[in-house]
Amino acid sequence: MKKKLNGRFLHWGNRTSKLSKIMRISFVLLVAVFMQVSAASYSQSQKVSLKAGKVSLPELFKMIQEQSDFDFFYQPEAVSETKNVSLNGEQVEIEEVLNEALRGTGLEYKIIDTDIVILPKKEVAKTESRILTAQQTTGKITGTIVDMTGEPIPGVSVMIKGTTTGTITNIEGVYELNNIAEDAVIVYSFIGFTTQEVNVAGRSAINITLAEEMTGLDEVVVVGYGSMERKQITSAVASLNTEDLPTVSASSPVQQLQGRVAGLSVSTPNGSDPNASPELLIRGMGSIGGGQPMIIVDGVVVGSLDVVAAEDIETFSVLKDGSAAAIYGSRGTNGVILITTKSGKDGKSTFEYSGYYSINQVTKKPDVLSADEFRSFAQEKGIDPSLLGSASTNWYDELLQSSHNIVHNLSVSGGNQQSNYRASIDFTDNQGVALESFKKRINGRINVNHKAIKDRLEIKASLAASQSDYRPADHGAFGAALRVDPTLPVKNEDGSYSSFDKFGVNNPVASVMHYTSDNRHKIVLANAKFDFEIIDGLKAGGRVAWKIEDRNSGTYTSSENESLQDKGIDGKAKVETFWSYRYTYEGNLTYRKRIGKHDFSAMVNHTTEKDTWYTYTMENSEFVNDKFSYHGIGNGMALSDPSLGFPVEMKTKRFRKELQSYRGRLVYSFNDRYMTTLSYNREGSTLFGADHKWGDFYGVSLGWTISEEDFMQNLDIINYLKLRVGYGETGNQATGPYNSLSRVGAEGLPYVYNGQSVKAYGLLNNPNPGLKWETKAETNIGVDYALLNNRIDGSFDVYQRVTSDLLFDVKVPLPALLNPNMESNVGEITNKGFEFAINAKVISNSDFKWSVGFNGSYNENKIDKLSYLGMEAVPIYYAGLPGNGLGSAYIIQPGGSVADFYGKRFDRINENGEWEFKDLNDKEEGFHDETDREVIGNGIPKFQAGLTNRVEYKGFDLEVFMRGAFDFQVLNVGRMYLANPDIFPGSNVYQEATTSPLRTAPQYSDYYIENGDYWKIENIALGYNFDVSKIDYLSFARLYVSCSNVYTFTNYSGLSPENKSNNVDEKYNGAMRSGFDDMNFYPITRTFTLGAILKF
Amino acid sequence: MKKSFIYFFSLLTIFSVYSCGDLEEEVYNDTLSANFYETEDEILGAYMRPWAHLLFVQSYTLCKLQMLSTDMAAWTTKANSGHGYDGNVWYDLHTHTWGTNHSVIDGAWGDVWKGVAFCNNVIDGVESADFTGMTLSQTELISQMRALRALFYYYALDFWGNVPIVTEVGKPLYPETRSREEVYRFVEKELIDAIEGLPAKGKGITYGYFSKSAGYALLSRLYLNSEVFVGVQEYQKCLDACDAIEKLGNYQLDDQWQQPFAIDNDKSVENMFALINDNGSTWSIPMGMFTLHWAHNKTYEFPLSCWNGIVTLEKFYESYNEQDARRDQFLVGPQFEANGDPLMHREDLEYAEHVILSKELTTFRSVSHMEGARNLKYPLSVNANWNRMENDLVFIRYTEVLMNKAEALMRLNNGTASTESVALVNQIRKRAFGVNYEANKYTTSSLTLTELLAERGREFAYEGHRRTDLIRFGKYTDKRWEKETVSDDYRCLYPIPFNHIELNPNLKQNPGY
Repeated sequence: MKKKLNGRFLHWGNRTSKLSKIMRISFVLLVAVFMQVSAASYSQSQKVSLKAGKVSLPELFKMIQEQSDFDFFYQPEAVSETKNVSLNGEQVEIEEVLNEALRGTGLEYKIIDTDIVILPKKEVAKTESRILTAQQTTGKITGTIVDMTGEPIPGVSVMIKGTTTGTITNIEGVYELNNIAEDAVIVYSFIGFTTQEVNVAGRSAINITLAEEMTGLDEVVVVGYGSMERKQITSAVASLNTEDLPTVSASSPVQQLQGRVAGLSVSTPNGSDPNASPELLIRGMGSIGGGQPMIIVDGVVVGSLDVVAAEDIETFSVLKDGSAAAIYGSRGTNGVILITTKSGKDGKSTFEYSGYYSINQVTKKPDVLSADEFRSFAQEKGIDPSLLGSASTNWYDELLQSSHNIVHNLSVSGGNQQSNYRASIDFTDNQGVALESFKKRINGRINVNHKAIKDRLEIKASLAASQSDYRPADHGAFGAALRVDPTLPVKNEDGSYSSFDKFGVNNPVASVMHYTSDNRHKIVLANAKFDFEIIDGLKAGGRVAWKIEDRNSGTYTSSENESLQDKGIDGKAKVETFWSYRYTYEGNLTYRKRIGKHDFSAMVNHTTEKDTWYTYTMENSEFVNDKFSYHGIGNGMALSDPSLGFPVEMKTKRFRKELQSYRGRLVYSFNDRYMTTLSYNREGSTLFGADHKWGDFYGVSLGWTISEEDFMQNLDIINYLKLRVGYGETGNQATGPYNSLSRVGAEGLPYVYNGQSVKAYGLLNNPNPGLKWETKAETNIGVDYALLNNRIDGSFDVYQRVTSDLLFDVKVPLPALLNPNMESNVGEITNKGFEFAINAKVISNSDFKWSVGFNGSYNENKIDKLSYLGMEAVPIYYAGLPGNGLGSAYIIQPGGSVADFYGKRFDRINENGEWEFKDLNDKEEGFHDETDREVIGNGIPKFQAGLTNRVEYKGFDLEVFMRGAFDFQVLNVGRMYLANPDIFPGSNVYQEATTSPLRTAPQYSDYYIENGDYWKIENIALGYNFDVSKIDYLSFARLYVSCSNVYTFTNYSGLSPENKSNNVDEKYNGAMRSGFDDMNFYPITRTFTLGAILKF
Repeated sequence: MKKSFIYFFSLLTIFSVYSCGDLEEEVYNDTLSANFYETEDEILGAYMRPWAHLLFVQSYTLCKLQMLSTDMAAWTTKANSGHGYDGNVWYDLHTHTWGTNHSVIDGAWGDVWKGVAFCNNVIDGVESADFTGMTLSQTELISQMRALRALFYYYALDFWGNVPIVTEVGKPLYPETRSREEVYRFVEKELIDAIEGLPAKGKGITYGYFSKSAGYALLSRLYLNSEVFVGVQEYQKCLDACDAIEKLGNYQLDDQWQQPFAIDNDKSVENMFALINDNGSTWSIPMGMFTLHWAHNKTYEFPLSCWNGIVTLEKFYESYNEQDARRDQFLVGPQFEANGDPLMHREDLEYAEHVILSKELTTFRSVSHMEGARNLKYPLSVNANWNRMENDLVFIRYTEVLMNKAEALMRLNNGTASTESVALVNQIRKRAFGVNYEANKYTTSSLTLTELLAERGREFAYEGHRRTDLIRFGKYTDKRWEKETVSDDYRCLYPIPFNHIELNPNLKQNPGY
């Protein structure tokens, strides 16, 4: 049995677009069943005035529609057969009009909120007559349950709420209950339909229309430059509605996606650091220069997500495969995440508050020697005790502070058929566990939608602004805390911070406290879009978006700072400003037409994106005192007297880039069974060499809804089955401007000519005029399914993505060039994998619901070749290990994968406590430092999974969310140094060092490579939705508690297998440094949250 | 309907107006190379760049490769703190056990070729510039740049021997290794051509740049090492170059041995090619920063702490006899603050120690922070900052011409000294010993080649000649201190860095590596 609320059974007024209408009715139906009572009371207040004259029913509906907030839904065939009606009157109740108009038509109506559904009457009439005969019996209730198309539903569970009394409907959808109290509540539930509760209120006949539960097939998914119904989509697109996600205390809203989308990895290497952003990776490392997907908010590319508060987000769409992302051409290689913010709803004026308070607790601390242990180990090593201090300091704890995250979000929204608005303001006060670190943000947003010119013109405008004040955590201080001698005091007796040996590690508490860092980040984003429907189905439109972003930072290093003291500098101030402007202009033309079974839509678009950014930097030193901080930057002596030779800088920079795109998309579907999407994008970017500016990106995908085929109609277990096949090309832009040009600038120091100091101007870069687009070609085969009365649904995708002409700042040979690095197109990477999602409604009773969501993904990454201008094999070594001479942790080489650890193989530690490594290269005698190395692990998890269990019982809901990553290794850099007694007492060590047989300096080998597999209880959230039906000013009230980062199951011995180094060169970002557990880190914390949501 | 389409297309046109750009990039804070070299100031600015580069890299990397693999100096690891360990790079240099990915050798390779690229870029720009109406001389600038490029190539020839020869930036991208002989002939030709267009001292801007004489001096250095470089004796050519300098007659010995290194060494009459430090804008690190003890900033009232890195090997220090004034460039024994108080290490702690430098060295990887004689050839300005010194960095001085000539004469004379060669060396000896000269002067019998090497060591200590000299005299691979074995001859060339060999298959590794 397949019953769906499906567009083709219904016709609607042409006020709103078909797409948004579908979305709305689905939503309305869902809401209506919960709020039937209030919906009814709303309708009674509506009156219309009608002029005399005969009109057809559709004309009448249109008249009512124009005078009220109601929309009509009906089968055109049913209505067209009816005669015209004649009605007249001022301020007539709508219900009265409808009763009159539908009399004798065989139709009846249902008012659901602001929607009026016109249905054939015959089924209902039949049952009504039967009900009438049974009406005499006291306490007896009968009725018929039908679906939205009027078909009776057999087997519906009809239960008296709070009891075990109940029955099920018969084959004709009829039920009968006896001895029912007048104030009883009946619960109607059936798999695949939304459960409905109805108060008997003394009635003896209750007929129910059950709304089909949204299976996700009808939801409208934003796909970039438009939106599509889920069932039309032919590529790998995941979408999430934030209503389905519990609130998490996070620094970025995208953290909500963690573990929820198959194939999207969201890692938080810096835990609860208020200033850290999660790292996103879709389907492995598609390119080596970076893996972060592009994030688009309401159609505009944003750099920072600070511009949108988590509470303001309505949906996320994740475009995973090439055919979906091809519409974004140049920037789609790493996938695209589309964020849609909430808008006002028709007819409802709501005031909403949501907020939470959370605290962080440090869970796992590194196991370094305490002061007493340090002393006894020193004694054991025969170190003169007089060289040690007399204090007992836990340096790690000294760097912690109490932390909290307080979030308040207030929003007001409302509107009518023509206009709606939503305005919100969001405050975040997030204090990290790291000493002095914090982030405070205020964020405001107004979304206004307006329709005019007989609803043909639609305007969407939004203005968002945010300001963040922050101080980043000093991750390096935690690294220093591990090394500092714990017998040294934090402060001297006179209260000043102590300082130690000049060439050891500085007092980490003092380095934090002697440093002022005031940072402010502001974003203003104005976005206006309009669409004009020229003829039915044809819309022309455009967008203008403008973003200003600026970052200001003022830092001051006090004259008491140890490293400044070593250099004899009296205070150092730095003020930096970064401005960025982005203008986006779009012209759009869309057309949608349905002819019989053919559904056709097309879109063409032209986009221009211009970016300009500026940096202003000032630095000065030598201050008379520390009182002016950076505010008195001009007071420093260093600028006016360069002969002092102290840090001083005065610099401005300006950059510009521009992107031009011409894109088009064609979607065609036949009979809702066969569909295809074609897209093309031609993009030009300033960033490439003169002859390589333009790139062409194609996407083609096909879908076949097998379940619509006749031969599938009798298969009850499969409700929905669609096969998708797609191929798409996407690109990647160069990392920065001007890399193709030979530039001269003032970078060198001056030199003296004829007694005068002359500023030197020299060649700045290795010009690469051949710099061109990186392109990715991706093939995706996927299946969407729904089984067992839609109890189980999900998807499965297999893909292969080949990225060629990889852009990367690679090493180039000297001589001939100037620098040993140059941005170039360097090779090819293949990612292969599969991903699946399974969502199951295990139990779906009226009182108790249990649903499970499970997703997983497997990805393999292989570097097919590395070449540069025809030369083969250029291995890239990156992520230098701390301490000189140990080389780099990773290698990128043909045949390998990104984030391959490359090092020696441990053989044994000999009698003298010396390292012995394996001779891997047979060609040479014995072990050689350079050649006897190989790939000893990989830091990127191959398999990742997320598991959500959600239980609802009465007003309670409980969600337990777990995720894990498998098949990868972690380099425990902390152990490499701190578990080696050789560095003692110059550095504190781990407990492990006291028993280690090592007597020589740290070496990099697989000895420190550990299995990183983990399974983690990421979040447990318990909420309660209060019954607010008796409080008339409150429509919703929810209270919840949650705990994040609850527990990690892992054999990894370090702090967290998810830690990643922050100290690696910026260009090796994201997943490229996966598995590099550095000594400098942010503490691992567990977060407890208490929150509330109230709607008025 | 038709109208609607017209509206739409006019709309699209409006938006397209914004997009009329040809996607050419606009640069703001830099200039395209093609648009530079248009004015005299631009040309001069560009001309500065390669010199500023040499000033920096000579003091920072190049000199280290000339010193730290020799019998003169080492960068030891200080006990307990592990300071100076630096991944074993200094120990590898001392013991001749460096591999093909040695970070210091790699760094020097990059510095040399960056210098070549700067010169190539300037030569290209200057050659195509229009000098009409300018006071700058196109010929002079090109000659200077070719001489400077030859100097960078001289380093390549000396350190690595077999290297490519490139004269344009980025062309070809994968140049082939040329034999050491080809490189030698290239340097020779470039120098000879450059000397033609170089000004004689006093005839143009030569201080801080090449003069004709400086060009000849570099040429004499090249010829003196010809046997090592190409297996051919060209000592007569060396003598000819020295004679050409004599003929030009622009340089002579300073009265005091320290004058060429003094804070006001721009007044030296001996320095033939020095890189200018002008106390403020330029940037170089005086050797003292690498050698002085951490606490020594209190002696010189420096704001910055010194590095306590490079120490002098004991035997080398002892090669100076007590009457040799040049021994004063070494700090040994108790050290004092500027005001005469004992210099204390870690004075803020109870266990502060008086810094007493010993000439003895224990083990390389665990010496006390107070071991080793410290070189301070360039006097430090008191109360300045160490990267803002005024002493110009001496590259070629007249003493070298005398020494080169003496050595060439001896080598042409079967390794024995003639009166002429003894007289040349004794000029230097006399200045070093002053009143004690008579007791220390050389005779034709006492001035053996071995003695000449020792004297060159004493005279040019910490000036970046030692490695080349030892190789020429066949002593480079000898045992010394913790270098307990005689290294193989192939160690007389440094390896082409592994990185670059991997990147450019047209590069050939030196034999042995």
